[in-house]
Amino acid sequence: MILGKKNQEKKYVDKGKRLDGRKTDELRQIDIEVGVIDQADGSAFVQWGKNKVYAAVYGPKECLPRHTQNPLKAVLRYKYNMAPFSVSDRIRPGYSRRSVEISKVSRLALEKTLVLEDFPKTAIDVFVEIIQADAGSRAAGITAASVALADAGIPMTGLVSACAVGKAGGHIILDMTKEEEDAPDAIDLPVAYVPETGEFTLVQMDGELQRKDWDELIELAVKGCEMVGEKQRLALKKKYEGEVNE
Amino acid sequence: MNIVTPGELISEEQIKTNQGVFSRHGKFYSKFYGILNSRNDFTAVNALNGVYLPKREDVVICFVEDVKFSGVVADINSPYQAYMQTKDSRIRFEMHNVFAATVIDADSSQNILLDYPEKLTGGTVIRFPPLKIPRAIGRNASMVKMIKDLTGCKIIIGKNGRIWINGENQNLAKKAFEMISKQAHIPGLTERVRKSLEENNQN
Repeated sequence: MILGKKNQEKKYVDKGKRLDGRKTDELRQIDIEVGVIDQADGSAFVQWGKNKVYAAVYGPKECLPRHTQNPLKAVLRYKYNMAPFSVSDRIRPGYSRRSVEISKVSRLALEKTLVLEDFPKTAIDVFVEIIQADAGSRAAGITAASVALADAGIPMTGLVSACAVGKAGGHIILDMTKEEEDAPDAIDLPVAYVPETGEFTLVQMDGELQRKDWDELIELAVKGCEMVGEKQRLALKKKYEGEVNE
Repeated sequence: MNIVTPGELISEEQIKTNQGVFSRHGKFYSKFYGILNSRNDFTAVNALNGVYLPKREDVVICFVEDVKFSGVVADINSPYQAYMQTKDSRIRFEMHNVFAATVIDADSSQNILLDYPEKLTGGTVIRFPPLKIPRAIGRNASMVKMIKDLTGCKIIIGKNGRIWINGENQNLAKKAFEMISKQAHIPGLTERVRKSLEENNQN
């Protein structure tokens, strides 16, 4: 069903407020906890609105099979996986076309900031498990994985922050929910950004976009990523501050 | 205590740097999630977590992983395996033997050679975060000396994050090292460990 312009405005943004009461440039509630998995070398849990994401990092460790080793730097392996119960319809467990793609783009988004040359011939495993999903799970995954990599003591030139921007009902909005993503004219644009260097490490797009909206969307994405980056840094600092006060 | 995160700006002016700091466009940033340390005009970031990377002259505690004709392949709790050339390797070593050795060579492609083995029998080996080992040893070995005195145990600390303890009060020494590992970043540690050990000794 194609909605009229007036109806669209009414539905997705009404008097500057969205369906869940947020402003157009407001993120959902984000809580980041560091060091949640004892067995892992580094780990993080991110609750981003209704998204619940665990990230665990193992390594640097011996890279096996040996033909996958790189004699000059470490190999980063990233696995994004959704739990079968993470969405309203059960999804088939294991690899899917979508999870393989997200794993690859997320790995490339994180690789840029890691100093992998410090650990030749090794492998670093990153596992991201989506326990509950509600749009923007790849952004939440990258955010959690970046914090977990820092927690594992991997040398980095900056933390990677990610968030999604988009368009629903003709309005440019930050951090879309599933309901907004399902709008008939929706555009989804996940972005990963390094606030310290101002570099983009991931830009994907789903939907059709006019040139005039692009600058506004990217500007909003940078603003969102900077807010996420601030939360990542606070979460990392909080881990040890708590112990000092005990 | 000043905790920094990766990519955090440390200084906009020229400074003398040590490990854990990198420069970009004349500014200095942290490379690790760690503690910022400024001592003797040098600024460094000590990572709070990480793996052991072998350096020459490190004493390490190893497990025998394979016995070859002319030497032993050892697990040194690092992403890399080490090799030790010895005579009579098949007579002297068996699989899963524990020994302390010194790293005599570790090059940039991480070919690690060991020597001066000392076989360890009895006792237990505990794991300890490799980057916190300097705290377990203490300044001029003050910490480990104190633990040895108060527990009466034989202790060998491997730089690779393994500690070998042998003696009647093994559990007491283990508890002390657990405490060090949890509180390594908080000042005044030696006194706290001493107090805890003395309290335990009285009980």
